[in-house]
Amino acid sequence: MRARLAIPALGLWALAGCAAPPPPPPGTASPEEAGLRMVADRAEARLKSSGRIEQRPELDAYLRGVLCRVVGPGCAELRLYLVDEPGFNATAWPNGVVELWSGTLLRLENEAQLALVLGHEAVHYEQRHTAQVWSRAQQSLGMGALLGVLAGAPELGVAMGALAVLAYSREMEREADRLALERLARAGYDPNEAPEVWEYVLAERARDPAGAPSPFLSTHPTDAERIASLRTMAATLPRTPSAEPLGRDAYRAAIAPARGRWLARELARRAFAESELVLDRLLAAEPRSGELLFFAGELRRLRDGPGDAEAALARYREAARLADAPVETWRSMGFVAKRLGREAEAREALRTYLARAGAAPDRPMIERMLAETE
Amino acid sequence: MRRARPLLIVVLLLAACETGPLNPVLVPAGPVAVGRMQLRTDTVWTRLPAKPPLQVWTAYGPLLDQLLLHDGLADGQPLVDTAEGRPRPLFRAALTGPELAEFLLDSLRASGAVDAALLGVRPQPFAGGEGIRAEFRYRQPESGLAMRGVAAARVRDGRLVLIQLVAAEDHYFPALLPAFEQLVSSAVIA
Ligand SMILES: [Zn+2]
Repeated sequence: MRARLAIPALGLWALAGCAAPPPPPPGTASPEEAGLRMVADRAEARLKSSGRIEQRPELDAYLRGVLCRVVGPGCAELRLYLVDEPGFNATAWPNGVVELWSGTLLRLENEAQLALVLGHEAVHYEQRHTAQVWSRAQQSLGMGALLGVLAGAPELGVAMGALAVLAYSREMEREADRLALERLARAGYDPNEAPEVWEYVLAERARDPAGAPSPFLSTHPTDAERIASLRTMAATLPRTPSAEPLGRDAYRAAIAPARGRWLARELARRAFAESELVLDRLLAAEPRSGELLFFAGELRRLRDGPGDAEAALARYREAARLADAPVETWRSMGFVAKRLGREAEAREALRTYLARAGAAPDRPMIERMLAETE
Repeated sequence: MRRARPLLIVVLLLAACETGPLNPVLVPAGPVAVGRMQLRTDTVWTRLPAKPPLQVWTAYGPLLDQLLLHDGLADGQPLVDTAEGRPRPLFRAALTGPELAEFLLDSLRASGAVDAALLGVRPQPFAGGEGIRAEFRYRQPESGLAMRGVAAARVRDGRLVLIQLVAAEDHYFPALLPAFEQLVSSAVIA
């Protein structure tokens, strides 16, 4: 698949770099950058047909509103795509694409943090950091591998090397930090939320230091010193007064319809150390959420380590007392109770699930489980 | 970054290959053994390089269809390999039938399936015992090609016995479904 895609991409590159190139679009500095834009346009076309883009018009409108509030008139040049992918990642492409992974939205706490991430990526695009980094990646990897990185599905093994090549320099990060922070404050958001985002990225990394770092951390190198300097900057910045400097409620309301699906995808990764941090933070903000308690149980059921079955059961029981518990709470409660030898509780939970679930795809299987134990 | 496309898995498994074939080999119609699992196929398949004891067969090429066959995946083992250091779903002998379907679905996701969903899971006898039949849909990453999957699975002596077909939803899945059914109904474990 790689070879098939690499050939037209290299052909394009030759066209843009060696033959007489078409005149660069307005605002483009060089033929080289025009070539990069063409490659990015191809990658964008592929992304659009890949089935990886979330189909949520209301959420798209909300995200675009936040982007434009923090970026200003320059947002007309940007196209924001919410990609159905767990994990923390946001990327700017040299043709004005801003790619945001849905897993990021489980990891941010409010609109100010979202505005910071989007504003930061916009600065990388506007200051041509993205074009510089892509140009470097093209030189060391070739276009095929670069396209692979862009498509979010690079060759394994090549991936980590490719990300290292794609990484912004510390200088670029500093510039993006400064400009994004100023815009955040000007847009009426609390700039003190900026260091919180990077703090979280490092905390997630600390949960699983042996595993591969998130693509966001790989491309945006971060350390404690950067966070400290962001804190200092944020404290001294002139701020536009605003009634909602955090935008916590608006943010939660915007992601609420999709959150359960994203959490299921998060747990399907089996990256339990990271996911536990995600769920702990969400639960700290909403301790009485039946949905979150259900997923906290799911994490333990799937991890299945020492004591996990009991811990999962406790969370399902707590979720079951709350109005927003998903119907799957009773199904999972039944599985775990059965594993623990609590047959009566398992039967009761599975019966409740069947009564509430309607035409669930696993109904015949659950009916069989019940029949076997009765 | 965290995706291996279904095709890539085959390539990866090739890299780790110990005793399986290094090149694709023909599986002619007739009786065939997958480890301790005895089968009979009426269709000609091509066996792709894969890390034993897993076997991967295809009829029209691995981008369009793949058949996974395993005669006994042990507790704590993954069905799919991912990049080094990446977590992936592990089979557990204690899984209930619906959890087995969840394991298969999440294994598809770990190998790159996009927008994956369980269409149904029900009891079905398989390889001389009580098993499950699970059906899925998903899309291939990058191409966005709509795919369908169907699996027959059973836990026998704490190990997962599996035959799973994934194929392009248009044409290939319906075309290969009878061959899948026939393979499943022929399966006997020694
Ligand atoms: Zn950055």
